[in-house]
Amino acid sequence: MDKIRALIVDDSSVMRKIVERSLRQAGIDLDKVLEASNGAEALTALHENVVDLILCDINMPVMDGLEFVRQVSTVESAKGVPIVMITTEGSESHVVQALTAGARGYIRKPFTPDQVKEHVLPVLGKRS
Amino acid sequence: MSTDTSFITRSHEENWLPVLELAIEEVFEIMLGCRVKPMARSESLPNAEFTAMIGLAGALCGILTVCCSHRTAGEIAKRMLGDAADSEEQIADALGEICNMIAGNFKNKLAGTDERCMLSVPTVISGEEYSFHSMAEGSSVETALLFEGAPIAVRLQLES
Repeated sequence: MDKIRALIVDDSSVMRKIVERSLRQAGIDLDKVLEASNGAEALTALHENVVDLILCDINMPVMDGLEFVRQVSTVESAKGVPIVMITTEGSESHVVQALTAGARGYIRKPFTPDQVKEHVLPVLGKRS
Repeated sequence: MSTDTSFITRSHEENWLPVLELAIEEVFEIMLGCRVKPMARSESLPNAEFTAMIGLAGALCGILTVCCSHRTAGEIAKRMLGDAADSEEQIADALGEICNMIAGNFKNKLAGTDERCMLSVPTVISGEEYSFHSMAEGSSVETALLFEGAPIAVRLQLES
């Protein structure tokens, strides 16, 4: 597997570190990890960087994760990049909204590194 | 796990306390790799040197708080981040995220409620010199658990 450039979007810096650690524990070879604390920051990061994978929370200030996912396709270089949601929101309607907006995976917090592996590995390298 | 909330003849506290305790236990076990256990009533509640809170709106309206001592909050952050957890900001962030996950895990276990209940982003207060006034003056569900021998208090205050 090639080295991966990942963007982790969560308003908690602690959670961003845990997600990064979980990716490494899943055996994903990370070349570069970008962090953003809300959807607006994440969009700015995507305008300035090319990434292979996005992991994104839903409940965040400024711009939430669902709105961010809807807007990702407006960034040319980010079109089709796999997005996996990692969130405390566990309802079916949130899952449906996220997948309809373009997310490729959905992980509920609290989560184990194995769940990250299970949901992230299948979508890596597969642009939609 | 999902819990049927149709059994409305019992009080909220009786219905929801075991659900809340399960939600807390799962968060600590999965994210921190340790077990917490309910405290005996005779044991002392924690010094609320750190208080994390998260608002609930919609089908469930109120506030969930997690209180513990500074030392306990630091241990929680260390469990989550390793030795990298050394600043007050990281300790507050870690406790806020624990509160967030407990609230989310709790509402996700209440069948029919998770769809219609929204969570705020967490807020964390450090220091004991404050008074807590919630507009959600209804029933409450509270429990205290031991994390590595130290008490943590969790309270769900609901609007009537």
